[in-house]
Amino acid sequence: MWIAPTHILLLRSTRFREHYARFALADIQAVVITELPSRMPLQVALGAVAVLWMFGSTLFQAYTKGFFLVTGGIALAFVIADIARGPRCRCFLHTAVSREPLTPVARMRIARRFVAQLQPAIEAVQGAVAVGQVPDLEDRSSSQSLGGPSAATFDQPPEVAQRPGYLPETLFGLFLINAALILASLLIHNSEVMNVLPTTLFGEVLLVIVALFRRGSRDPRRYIYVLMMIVLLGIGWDLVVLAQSFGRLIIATAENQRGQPAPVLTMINWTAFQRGHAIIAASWRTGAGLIGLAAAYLERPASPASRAQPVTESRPK
Amino acid sequence: MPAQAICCGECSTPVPAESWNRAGVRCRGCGHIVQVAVFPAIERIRSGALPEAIEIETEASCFYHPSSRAAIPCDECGRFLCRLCEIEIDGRHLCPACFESGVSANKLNVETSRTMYDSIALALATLPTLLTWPVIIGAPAALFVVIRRWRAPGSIVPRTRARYYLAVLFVLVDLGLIGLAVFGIITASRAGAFAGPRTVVAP
Repeated sequence: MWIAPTHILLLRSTRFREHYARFALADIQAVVITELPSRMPLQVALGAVAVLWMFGSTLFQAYTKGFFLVTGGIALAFVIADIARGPRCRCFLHTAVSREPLTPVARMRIARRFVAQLQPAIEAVQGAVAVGQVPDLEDRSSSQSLGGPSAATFDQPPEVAQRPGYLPETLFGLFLINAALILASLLIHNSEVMNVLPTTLFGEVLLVIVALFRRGSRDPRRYIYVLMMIVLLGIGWDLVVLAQSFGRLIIATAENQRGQPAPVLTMINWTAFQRGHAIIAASWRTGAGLIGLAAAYLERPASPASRAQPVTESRPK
Repeated sequence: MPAQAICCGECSTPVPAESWNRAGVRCRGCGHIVQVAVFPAIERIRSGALPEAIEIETEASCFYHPSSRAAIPCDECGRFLCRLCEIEIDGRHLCPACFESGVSANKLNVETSRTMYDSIALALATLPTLLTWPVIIGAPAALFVVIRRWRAPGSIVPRTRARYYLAVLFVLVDLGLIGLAVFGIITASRAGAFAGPRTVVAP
């Protein structure tokens, strides 16, 4: 949030793109801050889990010990930082035409500072409201709405449908890439491919979940999301097999460290999937990727400009 | 009166006027503490152009509201628009659809977002190193973004070019490492490090 003499600027950033919205100080009608319930029990529980995770390092030696300590320490630091930042809140900005959520104002400490800074600026433009005047504000505005035009009698401007993004296309493209990587892992036995595969498979899961959650009212396409829900089954099965395979590698590594006899299994000769499963995984990904890309292209709505038709005469009543 | 009633941010229960501009108030719906600060703008009625209803049957009507009188045609597509639908920008009158497509095609000067090319360059220069081999693609891509978008407008809020400089630094390091790796491979191959086992034939 940035404040200027005449307006405030709300900046939403995705690191690679920033979106801006300005609100004139003269137009701001109200600021509503709702304090959310405390999450202390959950935070304490998460902290306890992090500490237990760090204690897990006593079961292992050297590299594995360090892994548990570092990851547990990072998690514990996040929990402590979350507690230190204080209680959460939701903040809304009311104008005559909108109710805007102010996502940067997510903690009560920040909210108090925000109101303390914003209120004088607004009062410098609009003037202040005395405590005794507040009930009159609602009375006056209610009587005006009875005698004058109300929002219910107005036709609303037409809603312009937002064009969907390209997240589904990215996901289906990733399916094709992963299919190629899985086949490559069978044919080449390269440790670099083995290192990349868990990352890209995890990326698949993330993109599917984000795409399904983000769909909402943004994307009128339907069949690609049905396809995404179906491929979740395949992804889930592959992840179980991958986790089992990775677990065997971890156990073999741990037993090697203890000096116990174990099959020699290292990252160099580890394969994510057995041959049969790999062929199935690559096949369904190829099919889903191609079908998904085709469906996404065919279902994509036309742009508003291409739908516009000039009206040269009045419409008959 | 605001378009949407003053309500709790958690459960959307309306907050009565006697709770405005007071501290320590609890929502009647969820019981959470709600602080409402209202300002004089709340008593102003909505101002702006209102659509006029059609009185004569043969009158031209709005494309989106058949019961409202058409006031002006869209300068882009020609649709008839009422006062509610017309959007005036840069001296032109547009319908909502043409306004949306104009903004998307960057034909209209309505800047609501910007791309942070410096962050993209820095990410391309650093993130591929996590997987090692994508540096071969990431480093040149980062360099391309830095050169191509050096003059592109950055964030609307104050921001230095530090990300661009860091991206260039990382790209130089990445290219240096790639060069060293290539040199090492060439040297090793010349020394026969990649040659297969030689069979010695007994005399």
